[in-house]
Amino acid sequence: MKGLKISKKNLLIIAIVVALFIILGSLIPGFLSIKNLLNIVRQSSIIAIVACGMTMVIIIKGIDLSVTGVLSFCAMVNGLLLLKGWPIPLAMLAGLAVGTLMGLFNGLMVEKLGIPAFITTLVVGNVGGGLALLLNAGKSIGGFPAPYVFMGNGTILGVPVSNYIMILFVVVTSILMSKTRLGVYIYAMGGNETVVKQQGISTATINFFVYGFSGFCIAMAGILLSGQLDTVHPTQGEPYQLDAIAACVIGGVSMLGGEGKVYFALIGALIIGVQRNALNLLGIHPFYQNIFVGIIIIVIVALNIHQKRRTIEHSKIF
Amino acid sequence: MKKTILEMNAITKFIFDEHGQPLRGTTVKILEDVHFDVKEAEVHVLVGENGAGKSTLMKIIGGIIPADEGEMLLDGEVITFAGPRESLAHGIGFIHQELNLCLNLDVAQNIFLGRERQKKLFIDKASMYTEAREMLLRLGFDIDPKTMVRDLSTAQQQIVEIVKVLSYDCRIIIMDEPTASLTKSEIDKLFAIIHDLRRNGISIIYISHRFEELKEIGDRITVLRDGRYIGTVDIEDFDYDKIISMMVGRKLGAMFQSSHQVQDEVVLEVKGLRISRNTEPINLYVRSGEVVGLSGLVGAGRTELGKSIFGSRTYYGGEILYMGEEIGGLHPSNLIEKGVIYLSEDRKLEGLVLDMSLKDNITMASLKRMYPKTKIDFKREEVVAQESIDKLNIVANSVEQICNTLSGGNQQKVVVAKWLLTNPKLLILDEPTRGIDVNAKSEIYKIIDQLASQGVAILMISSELPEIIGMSDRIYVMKRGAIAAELTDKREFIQEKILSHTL
Ligand SMILES: Nc1ncnc2c1ncn2[C@@H]1O[C@H](COP(=O)(O)OP(=O)(O)OP(=O)(O)O)[C@@H](O)[C@H]1O
Ligand SMILES: [Mg+2]
Repeated sequence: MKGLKISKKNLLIIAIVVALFIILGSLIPGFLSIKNLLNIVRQSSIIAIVACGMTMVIIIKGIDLSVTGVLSFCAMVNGLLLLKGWPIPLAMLAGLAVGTLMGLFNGLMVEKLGIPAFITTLVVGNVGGGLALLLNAGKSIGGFPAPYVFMGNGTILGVPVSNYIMILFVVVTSILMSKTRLGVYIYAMGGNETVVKQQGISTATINFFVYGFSGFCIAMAGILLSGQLDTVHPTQGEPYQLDAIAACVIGGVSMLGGEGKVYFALIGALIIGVQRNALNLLGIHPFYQNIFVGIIIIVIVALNIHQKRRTIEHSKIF
Repeated sequence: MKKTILEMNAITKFIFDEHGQPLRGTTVKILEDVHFDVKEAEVHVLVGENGAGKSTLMKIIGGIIPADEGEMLLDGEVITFAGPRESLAHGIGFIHQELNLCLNLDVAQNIFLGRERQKKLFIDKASMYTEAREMLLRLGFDIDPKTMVRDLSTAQQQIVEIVKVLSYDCRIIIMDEPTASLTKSEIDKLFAIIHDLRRNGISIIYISHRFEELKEIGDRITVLRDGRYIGTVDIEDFDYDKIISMMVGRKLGAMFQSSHQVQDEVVLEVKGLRISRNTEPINLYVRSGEVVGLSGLVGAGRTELGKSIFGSRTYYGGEILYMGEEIGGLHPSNLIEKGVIYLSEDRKLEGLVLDMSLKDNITMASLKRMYPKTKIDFKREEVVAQESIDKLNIVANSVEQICNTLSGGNQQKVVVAKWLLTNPKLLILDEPTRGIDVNAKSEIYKIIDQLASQGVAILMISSELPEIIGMSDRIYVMKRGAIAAELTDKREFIQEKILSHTL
C-alpha cells in the first residue's frame, strides 16, 4: 500500500474537519474550550477503536453488526468480575477473551458455512445483547475500582488515557495492514478472493483473524467505555455500531471492499465524535443524532460509489 | 527424441461443483478418456472448439480440480495435486484464461502475492519493487511496479499475469489464451519470451483460437473435441483444413460471406462528438444494411465511442443522430427499446449475470418485448432460449446451466444471443468474436451478414484485422480518441494500410 499520500479525497476529508471545527466553534459557545475538546477526543476513542476492527472487516467485503451486543456483553462480563473482586488485568482479559471468541465464531461461520457476514454478526450481536441483559437481570452496574475508572477517564500529560490506548490500536492496526503479509492478504481478499485461494493463501486464517480482531477491538472499546462512565448498562453499546461504520465510511473505507486506511477511519471517528458532541451541546436529543449519522453514511456511500463508477468509466481513456 | 515429462492417461471429468467434486449422480462428462502429454522444451498447442474441455484439462494439471478417472504422471511417477499451490510447487505455472489479479493491489504486490519478501516481521517493499521492475524490464515491458493494477489497461494486466507466473521457477507453463487481449507488438514480445523459455528447457502448453499464431510457436498440436482426445500432430504436418476438420468433425465453408446490400438510409450519424475533453471531434455514419468496421489499437477510444453512442458513458459535446433523431443523453434502456444495441467487450463485467442461467441471460433484454403484459411464459422462454443455443451452437448441458460454469467462448456466445434476440436496428459490436473458436466465428459472421441483409446497421469494433477486412463495407480507423482515416474502397482494405493509420 502507498503510505499516507494526501490524495484529493483525503484532502477533502481534512478540509471538512477543519471547516467543521471553525463553523461549530463560532456557533456553539464552549465548543472550543479545552475541556470540551478533550471530551470529544475521549468519546471518539471508543468509536475509533471499534473502527480499527471494522475497517479490516469491511475491507474483506464483510461487515460487523455484532458491535452493539458484543460491546455491552463484554463490558458486563468484565464489570461483574471486577465487582466480584477480580484483579483488573484478569477481569479485562476475561472481557477481551469473550469478545475475541465471539468474533472468532463469526469468522468460523463465514469461512466454514459461507454464511454472509451481516447475518452471522447480527445474530451473534443479538445473542450478546441478550446475554448482557440476562447476566444482571437487565440492571446496570457501577462503582468500579479507581485505577479502572482512571483508565477510562483520567489523563496523563493532559491527554486522556483512552486516547493513548486508541493511538496504540490505530498504529498497530495500521502497521499490520500496510507492513505485514497478513495486511496484504486482507486487501487481496477484498480485491479478489479467487486469486487469494489460488495462491494457496488460507482464507480461514484471514477470516478468523479479521473477525476475531474486530471482536477484540469491540471488547476493548466496551471496557474503556465502562471505565469512562463508571457504569455498565446492558445496552450501552448501542450507538457505537453505526458510529464505527460511519467512521470507516467517512474515512474512505470502501463498502465495496478492498480499500481503506485506518488512519482515515480515525479521522472519521473524530468527525462523528465532533458531530455527536455538537448536537449534544445544541441540546438535540440523541434519537435525532442517529438519524443524522444514518444520513451521513448513506450520502457518503452514494458519493463513493458514484465516484467509483466515474473513475472506472474514465480510467481507460489515455 | 525429447523426454516426456508430463503424461495424462484416460482422464475423465464429470461436471462438478465449486469444490471440483462431481455433482451427485451426474453422468455428464466434460472430459472423457483424454490423453495428453508434454515433452521437455516444447510448445504444445491445445486447440478445440469452445467448450471442448481445454481449460478444464488445464485446471486438472494446475491442481485446481482433480480428475475423476485416469492418471497423471510427472517424470514417470503417478501424481495428484491437492491444490494449485502443490502444482506450482512441482513447477507447473498456470496463466489463466480469465484475468486473475487483485485490482486493488499494485503490480509488485500481485506478482509476489503469497511469497512476499520479508525483512524480519515486515514485508520488504523496496526489494519487491526493485525485483519486480527488473523482471518486467528483463522481459521487455515498461510497467511501473508501483501502479495499481486497476489503472492498467487490459493488455498490461495480462502482461502482469504472465510475468507473475514466469517469476516462479516453472518447468511447465500453461498459457490459456494469453494473447486474447494483447496487441500485435505485445504478442511479438510474448512469442520472443516463449522462444526463450523453450531454449532454456521449459515446456509450454499453449491454448489459442488464433491459428496464424500456432505455426509460429508450436511444436505439436493436440486437438480436443467434445471432451474427447482426437489426436496429436507435429507442426511440420500442420494443415489448416486438417486441423479444422479434426476440431469440428467436418469441413468448414468460407469464413466470410457477403450477401447483404448497403442501402441509402443513414441509421446512425455522429457529428462532432468528443469522447474526452482533449480529443478531436468524431464524425461518422452507418447506413442501413451496412457493416462498418472500427479499427485501431487497444486504447484508441473505440470502446469509449461505442459506449458514448449507447448512452452508458458521458461524452464532451457533439450530436448523435439515430434515424434522424437526436439520441444523445438517452439512457441505454430507452435505446434498447428503440433498437440500438451495444455488445460489450467485457462479458464478465457488463455482458452477463454470471450467477444466472443461460436461459435467463439470453432472454433478459427481450422480456419486455416478448411479454408486454407483465406475466412471463416460462415454457416459451425455454423454447426461445433453446433456439438461440442451437443457432449459435452454444455448448451447454441445458438451458438451465449457470453461466459461470460455461467455457469462456460459450459465455461470449450467450451475450451475442442475448442481443440478437432483441431485434436490433443498430448493432454496435465490441470485439464480438474475442475468445470464440473458428467454427463459431464463421457462424457469427454469417449472422452479422444476415442481419445486414435484413437492413440492420452494424458498427463493428474489432482488433482482428482479418475480421475487419473480411466483413466491412467501410472502415474507420481510430487513433488517440479520434478518427484517423476512413477507407471506402475495398481495394484499400489491406492489413498494412490499416495498420499504418493506427500508428
Ligand atoms: N462446473 C461445471 N458444471 C457444468 N459444466 C461445466 C462446468 N465447468 C465446465 N463445464 C462445461 O465443460 C465444457 C468445457 O469447458 P472448458 O472451459 O474446458 O472449455 P474450453 O475448451 O476451455 O472452451 P473455450 O475455448 O471457450 O475457453 C463447457 O461446455 C462447460 O460448459
Ligand atoms: Mg477455455
